Formats: sequence, structure tokens, C-alpha cells
Amino acid sequence: MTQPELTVAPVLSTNAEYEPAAVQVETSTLSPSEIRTIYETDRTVDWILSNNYSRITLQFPDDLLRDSTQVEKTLQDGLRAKKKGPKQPAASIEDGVDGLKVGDAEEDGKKERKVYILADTSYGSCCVDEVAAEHADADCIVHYGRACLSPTNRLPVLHIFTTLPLDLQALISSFISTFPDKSTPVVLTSSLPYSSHIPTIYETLTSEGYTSIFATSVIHNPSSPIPNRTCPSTDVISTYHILHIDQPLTSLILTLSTLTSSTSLQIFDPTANTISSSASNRLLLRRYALQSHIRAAGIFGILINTLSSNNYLSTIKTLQTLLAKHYKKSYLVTVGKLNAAKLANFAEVEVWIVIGCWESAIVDERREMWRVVVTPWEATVALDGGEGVGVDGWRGDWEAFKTKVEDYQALQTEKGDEQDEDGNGDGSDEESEEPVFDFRTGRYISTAKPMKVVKTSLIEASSASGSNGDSSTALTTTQKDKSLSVMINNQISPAAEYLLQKRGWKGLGSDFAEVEYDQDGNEVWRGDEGAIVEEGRKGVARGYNVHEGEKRT
Amino acid sequence: MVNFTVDEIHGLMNNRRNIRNMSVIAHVDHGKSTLSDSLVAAAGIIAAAKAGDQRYMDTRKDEQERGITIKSTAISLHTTIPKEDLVDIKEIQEYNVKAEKEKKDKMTLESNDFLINLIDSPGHVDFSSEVTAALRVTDGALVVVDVVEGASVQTETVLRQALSERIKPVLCINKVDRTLLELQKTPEEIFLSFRDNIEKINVIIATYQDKTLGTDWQVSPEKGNVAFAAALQGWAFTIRSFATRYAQKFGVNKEKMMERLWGDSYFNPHTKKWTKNDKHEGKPLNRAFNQFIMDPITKIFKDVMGDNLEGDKGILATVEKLGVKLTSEEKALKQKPLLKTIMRKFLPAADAILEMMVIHLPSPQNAQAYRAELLYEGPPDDESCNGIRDCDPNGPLMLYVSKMVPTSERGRFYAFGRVFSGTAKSGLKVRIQGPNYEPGKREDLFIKAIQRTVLMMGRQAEQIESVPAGNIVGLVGIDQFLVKSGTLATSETAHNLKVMKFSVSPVVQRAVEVKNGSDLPKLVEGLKRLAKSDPCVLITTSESGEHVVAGAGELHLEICLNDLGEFAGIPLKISDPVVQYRETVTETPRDERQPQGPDGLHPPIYALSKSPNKHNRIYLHAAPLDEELSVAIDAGKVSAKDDVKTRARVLADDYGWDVTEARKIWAFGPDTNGPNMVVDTTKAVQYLNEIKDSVVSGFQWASKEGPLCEEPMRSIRFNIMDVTLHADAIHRGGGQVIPTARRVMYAALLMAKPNLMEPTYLVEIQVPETAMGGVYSILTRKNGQVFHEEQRPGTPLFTIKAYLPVRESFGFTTDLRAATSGQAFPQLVFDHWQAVELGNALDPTSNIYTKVIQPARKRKGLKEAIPDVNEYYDKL
Repeated sequence: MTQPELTVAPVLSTNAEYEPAAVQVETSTLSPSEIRTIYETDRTVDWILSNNYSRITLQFPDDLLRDSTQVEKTLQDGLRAKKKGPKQPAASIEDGVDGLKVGDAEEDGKKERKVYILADTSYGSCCVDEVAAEHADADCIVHYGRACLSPTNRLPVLHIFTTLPLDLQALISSFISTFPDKSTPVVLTSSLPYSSHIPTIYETLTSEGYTSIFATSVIHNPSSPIPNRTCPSTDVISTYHILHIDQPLTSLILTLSTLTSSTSLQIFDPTANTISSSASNRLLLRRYALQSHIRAAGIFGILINTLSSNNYLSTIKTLQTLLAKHYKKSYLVTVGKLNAAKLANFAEVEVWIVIGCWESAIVDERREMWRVVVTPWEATVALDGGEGVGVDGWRGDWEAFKTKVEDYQALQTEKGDEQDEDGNGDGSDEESEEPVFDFRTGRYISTAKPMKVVKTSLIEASSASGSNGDSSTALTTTQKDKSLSVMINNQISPAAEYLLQKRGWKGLGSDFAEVEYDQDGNEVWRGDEGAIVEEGRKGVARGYNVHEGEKRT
Repeated sequence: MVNFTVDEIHGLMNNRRNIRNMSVIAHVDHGKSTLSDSLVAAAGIIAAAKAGDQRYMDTRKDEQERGITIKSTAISLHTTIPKEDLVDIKEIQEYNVKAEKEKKDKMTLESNDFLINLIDSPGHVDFSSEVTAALRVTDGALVVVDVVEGASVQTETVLRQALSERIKPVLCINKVDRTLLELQKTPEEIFLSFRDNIEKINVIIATYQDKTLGTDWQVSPEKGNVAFAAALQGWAFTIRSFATRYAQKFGVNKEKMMERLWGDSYFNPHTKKWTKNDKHEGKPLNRAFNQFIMDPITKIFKDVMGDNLEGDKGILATVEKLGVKLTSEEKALKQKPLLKTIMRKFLPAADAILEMMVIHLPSPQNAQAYRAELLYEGPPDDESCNGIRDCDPNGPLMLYVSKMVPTSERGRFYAFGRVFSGTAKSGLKVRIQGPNYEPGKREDLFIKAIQRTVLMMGRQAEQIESVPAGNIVGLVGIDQFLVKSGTLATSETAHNLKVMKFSVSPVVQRAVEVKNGSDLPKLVEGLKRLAKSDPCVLITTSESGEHVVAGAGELHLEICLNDLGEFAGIPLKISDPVVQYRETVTETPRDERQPQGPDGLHPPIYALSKSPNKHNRIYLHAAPLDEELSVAIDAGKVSAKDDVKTRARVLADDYGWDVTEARKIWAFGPDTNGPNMVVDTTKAVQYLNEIKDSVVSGFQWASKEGPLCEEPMRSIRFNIMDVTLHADAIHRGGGQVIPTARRVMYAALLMAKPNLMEPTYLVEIQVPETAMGGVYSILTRKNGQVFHEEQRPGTPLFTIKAYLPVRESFGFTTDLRAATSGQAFPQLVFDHWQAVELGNALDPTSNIYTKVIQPARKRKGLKEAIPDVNEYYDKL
């Protein structure tokens, strides 16, 4: 059979050019006075001067970036005015390629003050990006917008929450209609940009006759029952209703709805000026579904999504021990800000555990990710029943995880001792362990514990039992037993197994394995194997080992 | 009372020619369990007097209460036939005929002791999966048909399944007493209805019989493989049992006599000769069947019911002559109890039926020879397959576990199955291969020792030291490794025994929640147990965190959820039943502005999506797949595992595919075996092989949850037209391609007139003429489509067949009973997928949107509106 002739040019011919993605440039629409109030420049200037910082970095979230130059200008002016310096206009602003903008200070000051704008954050705009600030050799950071208030350990931070206007009248009236009973206990809380309105609302409501209102205030403690807010004591919180101003983050909904019954969480929408109850039940169920993913998965990616949090190293350690304890394979990965494309590059990873601030919980609510993304909290609950890590969700509670790691290590040594006593050092069992029931599919899965050495062959099983105690033979039989697991450097590598068994592509060159058809329609295979694997270069880029002993730079 | 011991049975098990594995199959209420009772009674397990009432094989409380069988139950029986009858056994005869031709030694059986492993199966369509599980482990089937109601939809379904597994049928026409007592029919009328029923069964056998087998499995009374029974009264006969009586009297051999006693055969009393002519000098002759068989039976019935008992002409004297000895207590009985006693002694059901099974059904040795190739997935000449073919107790172990039977220990199960090769014994280490096992891979493979082997005896299980090939067995210690079914083997190279295909699918689902959050672990435990205890029920957790139980129908789900409640022991919240839909496309979008191609069609409009880095583009379009092909994929006739070339040939010959394209099917999905495909129709695209895995991953992802309401896709073919890729490998990796493939498939689906498909039941309703109005009004209200209506000859009963969307079926049975004052009995069985005819799915005012899509999206917590195609389609 011959290929059909093309009579016309194909409609879709391959176009080799790529137009660059359009960059939208937005300019600030705020007047200088608005900038001064919203961005609290006066307070910032006072803070800088009182602490005598000289290199100042300003961190903006993407949506506020358009105001950044104005803020910077106002700050410069403020600093100069306070120092009573000459009244020259600020230096012209250049577009830096990397988004760093440098405004320079005046030459006559003994101490030069430099202000930098951090335009791109490594992970999330809620987290203070200390590393980026250190690139500018800064000695303080001013963080704008929504913040997770995770503790930092390198640089002093000033958080400016960029207060947004609120229609008080509308809020009060809808509050009264939602809670007609004036003795109803209600906790008032809000997103950070609205938090400055809370005291005013509290006063108004008290004057309206409400007796049991609790007004939260901002504290820097993500592991408080309400993250970063003061809270009534834990014994009585379940009797409270919660009114949250502004749509809360999904992680916050989860936290709040576990504090009190989910029906009593009300949300005030400042754009529509209405109060509605939240759909938190759905989120809780989704989180429950995620846990069955975790139990069924064998390969995990631990994703580092922060560099500024205290103790993230110990959390990594805890997770690695936790996963190892359950015979699961973990890989440590850092990709910067997460998105579907980056994570899907690691097709063999079944579940991602993000080590980030508490706001990053359940990022895949829209399920755009190729594989599920969870927090250390879900992983611990799913695998270990969640003892000792709090009951209601992930909030960057590193301390709790730190203590857990010690438990695990103790457990691990105990287990090691037991195995030695058995005299069966390879830790493998004669018989398979009970498989995991995967509730997503209703099947048993044997791949949930890839690091467990299991015998997959009856022949080896019988020969191994004969050679107990002899360490050298035990080693070889172990290797044979793992015949169906793929080994790299004597280590089981589930990811390599995935590539071997699930990948059809055999490497460069297999592209040429084209099927052609001769005139009778019979298949003719041409070059069906990929390129032959040869040993390549080893070492670090500074000096590769090309061949034995030889070095090339 | 037990007249044989486990040790004796163990002895019998080694005698492979003397084993019969058989299941009793039939429509609901045609008397399977009652008939099984008679057989069990003969083996001495239950008191003979209670046979017919006790339903020994219904082991569960709800089975006894509802009077229906829900689970299939196995029991081993022991029987003997007279030594001189051993030569009549069909497979021995066949063997000897062949041996004579090939000048080999003839075979004679040493022993006349037979072991019968009998499985009683449920008759209700909702539990068809239990029948499938029973059929797999047996070689023969006793098909029971109610003489009045005749073969119905379920009879056909189960018989078809039996035949496709190469399971040999024998027929039992049951409830003969009804024709005599209730319907007061004449012997000739009875004969005609017998013949009519047998013909109907033979039509089914002829249609579905495996022609390649070369033997004819039609049933006919003169061969002796049809029995006539009244199970409730505990009597039955075959032509053979009467032929044995009369052969001596007429001085002819049994075979001749059997031919004479059925069909158009008459004994002319005037000439004392047998004739085929039904007239003698113008006067009609009495049919031999009537004269010699039905007349005596009718007379007994008449006399007993007419209280004509004593005296020379009285029935007691007559039966004495027939060799029926009654005790004085029994003589004091009257009416039906007396009738039952006489008939049971005159024509004991067990004798006739057990004899029929021994003679006509194959032994495992014989059956496995022709079933091996059908059972085994691997090559036909490896050691495992040879072991199966020879039924070799010394070969490598091949054991198929077809279902799980709960033990008295909470949460533990016996793995119930059949040893096809080798010998199962306690302590033996085996490879447990789950349904997804593939040789050379670790998935679904476990090593474990069999703890104990047991013999399944109805409600009890008796420990037995070993079970050799050809027998049915229960295993202890295997249950934690298999959810429902699987293969046990000892050979390292063993492939799986073929996974069972059920005639029903779990199309109705309900979400289960706990009332009390702290009970969740108990629910989870209960769900695990439920998943095991039923071969068909599907337990899943949706991505939105709901526990979903899916079953074949309303009744099936009800039973499952009752079980769940019992397993979990906690109060449950159960949602309303929900139907599973499928997302599909109805036509390929065509670009009218482009010139028509050689096939007279405009070129298709392609969907285009760009990767996140904008450097890769995929162009493809969606086209509907033949529903016929989708059915073939569902049935496993066309599958991803097939050889590419043979599959391409089948697709080209049977489904009109272009053979070049048929060879370039990249994948089936969802779950790598669903009825959707990605086909590579590109021409010479660089790096295409490299992204194949990523596109396939994206396709599996997309086909599992479509864009309309996150239901799986069905009958869609995605044709990849062109692909533009970045020159650097790192920029065309999985991360870029997987999400893009998914998006472009969503776009293509939305562009190709998407629609939903819904499962449709075939409804069969038997109803008296007077109540037919009620049936029609309910069917019309529920959007049913009647396509067949027929009166059962000689009865006022009508059989109505209709298609009914599963969506409309909830409460259908109740409504129907109400509208016909309980006279109509519907049977609903999943038949096919059908397009939902409620308008354009993308139009937010259409019925399909408001009635189906919107509620589904809401339930799943999705945004209310279906995403616009532009969310997935990128401009060039």
C-alpha cells in the first residue's frame, strides 16, 4: 500500500518560529497619597531609620508589582526628607533584565542607603525571600501584601499588609442579619489586608449590643489555632462561629472548619458585600481522598518549596525517615515555584510532598497537576495516623516534626536490632506481606512498598532458606530475589523500574525505528533499537573523567 | 446421617475420570436451589423429608428470608451408578470409538463411585457475576427451566456464558407438577410444551456453541440428557430411567427403547408394533411418551388428588406394583404429602439427575483437554498449559480462584477455586498472581504458603489434606492477596488463567458516608470486606473523597449495602443511587472551507494546544468510534495486549479501518484497556516517538475524566495530526507534553459535538394479559422502548422486552408491582451504552445539561459551567 498523495499543501504545516509571549505592562493607577497610605511608607521609613539599615530590599507579589517603582520613589523621598538631604529627584529608573531595580541614594550622606525591588520570588509571594535579598546583600526586607508570616532566621522583616478599603456599613448590616442573636459567640478574623479594620468592626458591633465577639489580632505564629491570629482558648473555640473577611485560602478554610463545625464558618466577600457560608466540607473530603493516594503510592517526591523557614532541613529528614519506614522511595527535588509542567517532568513520582509555608496546603484543588501534591501533614496522617502533628492540618509546624524525627530514628534502630536477631540481615521475608488495598480503584496493589525486599520467585525462596547465616551468599540471593526490581549500584531503584517497564521510548536513535510498508502491505521494520549505550563522562564539570585515569577539562 | 466421609472424598478426588464438576444455572425462581436440595438429600446431608423446603444451599439469612439465592454455594456429593451402566458414559464411549480407530487400548472405568462437585448459583440477573464465578470452576452445567415460564432472558444469558467457557449443558425441565396440578394439562399438551422448551434451549445452544469444538452439544430427551422434574416434590426422570424399566419388558436394548420413548414414535397396540405413523386406520394413536411415561404419572396424580387410594383399583395397590414400598405411616398420608411420598419413591430426583450428570457431563480429565487453550493466557505449549490440558496432579500447580467465601472468622475469607493442574496442599508456597499480573513484572505478584485446604460443603468447610487437579477447593491464607479472583501457580513462567468477564457491569453507584466521623476506620474495614465478598461490586474512592459502592442493579446494591452495614456495624449515610455516564463525541468537526478530500469529506478541524513554554504544539481531532468496536474492546476481543498486526487486520476487516492507521494505535484508555484510542496519523514528524509516552499519559489522564462532568470517556478516537516540538529534549519533556496532550484532547472533544452515553437495561417482564396496561403505562413514563411482545403458548402470560435507561430504573420494580397489583415480574439486565437523547450537551438550556450534567458537576464540586473550548484550545 502506498501513502496517499497530498493533493494540497497540508493545512497545518509546521511553523518553526515562535513568537515571544506577550508581556503585559501595567502601570500604577494610584496617586502618591494613596501609595503613602496603602503601602504605609511613613512607617517603613521610620523603621528603616530607627534600625539604621542601609541596604533595603522591597519584596512585592506579582499583582502589586506595578506599584513598586512608585513605592520605591516614595520611600526614597521619605528617607531623604527625614535625613533632610538635598531635594533632588530620585535617579531615573532603568529596566533591569532580571527585574532588579536600583535606586541610588545621594552621595553626600555618609551612609549610602540603597533600595532594591525584588520582582520575582523563588517560591511563593507569601514567603519572605531571604535568599534573593541576600543576593543584593541586603540587611532588611520589607514584604508587601499577603504574607504567611512564617518565621525567618536570617534577616529582619517588616510586613506591610497593604490595607484595602472595606465597606463597614455593609459588613455590619449583613453581620446583623447573619447572626440575629446578639449573644452568639463569633470570632472575627480576616485576610491580612483587612486586618486593620478588625478593631473598628469590633467596637461597632459591641455598641450594637453583641456580647460575645472575639476580635483577633495579628501575631507572628502560624501554628496558633487560627494561623497568625490570636484565638479564644482551645476548649471553647468549638462553640464559636467564625466570620472571615475576604475569601480565605483553601488551607485556611480547612484549618478553620476543623476548629469549629464546618457550617458555622461564614465568609464576608468585600467586593460583593455579602456573607455566605463556605464549602469547606468538599475540601475536607478532597483531603481525605489525597490520603488514599499517599497510601497507595510507592514513589514520593519531597519538594522543597521554601528556603526561609526555620527547620525545613529537619522536616526533610523526618519525611525521609517516615517514608523509609514504610518502604517507600523518596526523592528530594527543588523546582522553584511549582506548576504542572515542572512536576510532570518527573513522571515516575506518584505523590509530591511540598515543604512550604502553611498557605501552600492543597495547591491542586483544580486538579491541574499530573500527580497529587500534599503537605507533610497529610503524608504523616495517611501513613502514621498523624500522632503528634496536630489534628487539623499543615501549618508549617516544624517543631512538631523535629521531635518526630527522633522517634523515627529510635524506631529504625529498634527495627534494625530485631532483624539482626533474626539472623536474616537482608531484611527480606520469605513470604510477601499483605498488600495495600487501594481505595481509589478497589484493588490490591503490590507497588506501594517498592523498597521492601520481596521474593518474587519460588526457586530463590527455597535456596535462600538453606543459606541462612552465611552473609556472602545471603547477599547474592538477595540480589537474585530482587530480579524483578531494577537495581542501580545495588540499590533498588523504583524510578528506574518505572522507566524500564512503563516507557516505550528507548532513547535517541529509536526514533528511526520507523515502520514502513512494502507494496503488499507487509510491515518492514527498519532500525528497531535505540542507540547503544556507552559509558560517558563522569565527575563534575570542572574536570570530567573521560576514560580510566584520563582527565579533560 | 452423612453417608460418606472426608477421607472417602479425598480418595475419590484422585480418580479424575470419576469426577463431575457442575453448576446449576437458571432464571430466578425456576427451582435451582430446590433441585439442589434433592441432590444434597440423596447424599445424606439433610433429612430427605425436608428436601425441597430447606434450601440447604442458601446459606445466608437474607437468602432464606427473601427466598432467592444471592451467593453461589458449592458442595461435594458422592454417588454411584450400577456397574453395568459405566459403559454408557458418553466420554468413555467417545474415547473408545477413537481408540478403536487408532488401534489403542480401550478404556474401562474401574470404579463406579463418583464425586460430584455441585455449585448452586443465583438466578437473579443482578447476581450474574456469581454465576460466572461458578461456571469458571465447573465443566458442566445443569440448566433448569420452568416448564410454564420457559427459557427467559437470564436463562439465555447464563447459558451463553456457559457455552463461551466451553461448559457442557444438560437440561432439566422443572415444575412438571404445575402442569398437572395447576394447569390440568393433558399428556399431549405437556409433551408439546416439553418439546417447545427443549427447542428454545437448542436454539440458544446452536447460536452460541463453540463451533471449533466439533462436537454437538444440543440436548434431546432420547439421548438422555434432558430430565423432567418436579423439584418441590422431589421427583424427576429422564427417558433413560423409563427406558431401563421397559427395555426388559419389550426385550429390546436400552438405546432403542430411549429413541422410541420420545418424539413422533407410537406403539400400535393393534399390531403390537412400533411405528412413526400417528394414525391407525384413521384413529389417532397415543404417543409412546404419553402412553408409557406421562399416563402413569398422570394417573398417580389423579388418583391421589381424587382420593382414590384403597382397593384393587386404588393407587396404593398400583404403586406397589411399580415397586414403590410405603410404610404404614406413609399410607396414612393424603393429598399432596402422599403424592410427594409416592412420586419421590417412584422416581427419586437425585437418581435420575445424578445419573444424567455422570453419563453426560465431562470429567475434568476430558474437559480440561479442550478448555485449556481457552483458560490459559500464556503459550499453549508451556509446562503450565500442558499440566492443565492433561489435568495432571503431578504437574506445576495452576489454580484459579474465582471468588471469596466468608469464613466464620470475622474479616477472613476462603479463596474458592479450582485446581486445574498440580495438587494444592497446605504448606505449599505459591505465586499468587492478581488480575493485573504480567510475566516478568512485579505488579500483582505475591509469594505465600497455602495455610490449609478445605472442602466446601455448603455452610461448612471440612479440612482436607490435599486437593489434586480437577477438583474444587477452598484455600485458607490466600485471601489477603486477592481482592476477588486470581491465579495461583508454582511455575516461574506461568501466565495468568484468563480473567473472568462478567455479563453485568457495575453501572449503578451510591456514595457511602459515616454518620459519625470517628466511625470512619470501621467503614473502611467494611468496604474492604465488601469488595471481597462479591465478585462484581466495585469499591472506589472518588477524587473528591467519597466512598462509592457500585453494583449491577438496585437489588444487588441493596444486598451489598446491607452486607456493608453488617460488616462495619455502624450507622451509615447512603446517597441516592447515581448512574455512571460516559463522555463521547458524535461527529468529526469538518472544515467546509477546505476542498473535499478523495473520500468526499472536508478535512477535519483540528484542535491545537500549546505547551506551557509555548514551544510545543499538538494538533489532533476527535472522531467517534464504532459502538460495535467499543463493545468488542469491553469484551476483550480487541485489546491493547493483542499483536499489533493481527489487531490491525481485525480492525480493517471487521470495522473498516485503514490498515496503516490501525497499526499505529498508540494506546487504549482509560486504564490502558478502555474503549478509547489515540491514533498516530502524522506523517514523518521528528522526535514523535520520544513524546509518545507523554502523550499516552496525558490521554490516560484525560480519558478517565472528561471535560463535561468528569465522567470517563467512551467511543472516542483521537487522531494526532501533527506535532511541533522544540529541538531541545529538555523543552519537550513530559512536563511540557503531558498537560498539553490532556488539554488538546479536551479541546478536541468539546469541538466534536460532545454528548453523554448512559447505560441501558434490557427489561424482560412476564405479565398476564389483564395487567399489561399497567406495564405499558409505567414503561412509557420511564422512557422505556418496547421492542418485543410475545404470548407464551398455552398460557395467558405475555413476555414484554424493552430497553430502559438505568437512570429511569430506580424504583421501577416497585412502581411496576404497584401498577399491576404485583402480577408483573421484571428482570433488568445491563445491555448496552446508549447516547442520551436530551439535546446538545454544550447548550446550558438543554435538558441534558440541566438534568444530567449540571447535577453531576454540582455533586462533584465543579464549576457550574462546562469549560469553554478556548480554555483548552490555543490560538496559533
